[in-house]
Amino acid sequence: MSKSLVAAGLLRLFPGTWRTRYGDEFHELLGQTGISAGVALDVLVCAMDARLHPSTNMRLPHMLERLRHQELVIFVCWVIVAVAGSGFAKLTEDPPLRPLYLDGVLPASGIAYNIVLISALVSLVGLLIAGVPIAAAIAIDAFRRRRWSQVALLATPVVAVLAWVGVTAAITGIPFSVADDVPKTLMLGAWLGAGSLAVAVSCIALAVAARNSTIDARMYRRAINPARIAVGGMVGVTVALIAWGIALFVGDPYDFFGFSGLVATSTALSWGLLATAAAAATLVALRSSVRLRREPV
Amino acid sequence: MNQPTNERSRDPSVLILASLAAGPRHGYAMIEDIEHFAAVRLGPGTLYGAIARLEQRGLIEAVDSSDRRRPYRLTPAGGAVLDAEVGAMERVVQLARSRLSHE
Repeated sequence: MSKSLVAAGLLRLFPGTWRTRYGDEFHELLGQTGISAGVALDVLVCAMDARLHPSTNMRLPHMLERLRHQELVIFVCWVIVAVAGSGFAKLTEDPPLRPLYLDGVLPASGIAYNIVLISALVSLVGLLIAGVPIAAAIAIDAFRRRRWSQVALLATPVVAVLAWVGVTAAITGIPFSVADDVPKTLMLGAWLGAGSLAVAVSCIALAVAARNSTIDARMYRRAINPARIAVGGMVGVTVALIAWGIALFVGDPYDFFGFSGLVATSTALSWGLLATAAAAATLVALRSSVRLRREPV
Repeated sequence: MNQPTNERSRDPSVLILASLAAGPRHGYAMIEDIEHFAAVRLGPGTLYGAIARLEQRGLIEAVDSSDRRRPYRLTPAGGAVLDAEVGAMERVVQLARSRLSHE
């Protein structure tokens, strides 16, 4: 067994928070001191002490952990609302729903649609201001410390999106003669499943990368207000999305109960699912934004 | 090489503070330095157990570095604690010497 593997095995004896803080440098030190039986025993005793007295080995203060957790929750909720918003854009891109807001047939629906767009833009700006500096700091930290596992985590969303684009290309590239024999629901399920998996894997990878990183705590503090702006935008998207459905129900019940929904399903069901997903994610994000505190970390 | 005078001077925390009093050092440099001035070779686990406690108490702090071997330095609070420890050790040494000379 190589020295590096033994060192990695010894590191596993320590609690996760200890490894996050001291893992890299301790691994490096073990490489310099070598690993004799005496060193292994010394490390074992230290690891037991770290597990028995975790509070003395936590570099990241509790407040920072909480702040980071709440910001990650907001990020994941934002992704869910963004997916719901994309579904809404898809729902309203074709007739008969598209002319309702474009031609002013249903003014309330048009206003709601525009509020969704504006709120989505506000939310995106908030998220970028909050998230880009943190993501950049995590990436720089990973490259400087040569933590390639962190780099791989940060690259995961790009790989996931490319994989999803590949799945999309493969499905749309199926010749018509073959596609006619494949059930539409199977192709749709594969496409949606691949997309959902890409989103889920990306969120998890970014959350783990943030948890493993030891970037300056001030980065998370600076993100508090932009994160609140992002949540405000999410509230706007959700309220307007719900209002759009109600306006359609009141003004044009025929189309509301028709089958112009996503992939030719029920319009009411599509709207209901999108509104429910956006509302649930927004409520969770709101709770997290209330819990964001500007206490010293 | 100065030899340790009592058990207190072998406390890993005091040894680390004494080592860092000369300037920032990473883990392996501390082990070498401490072995040089105190004739005590700290194990990696003992060293990092003490580093974690000292950092938690704000007596030392990590220095930003692109190196995986992260250096540490003494904080003003760490300097004050080391000064107090050294003063206490000196008083013990002086007392012991004066008693031995009166035997």
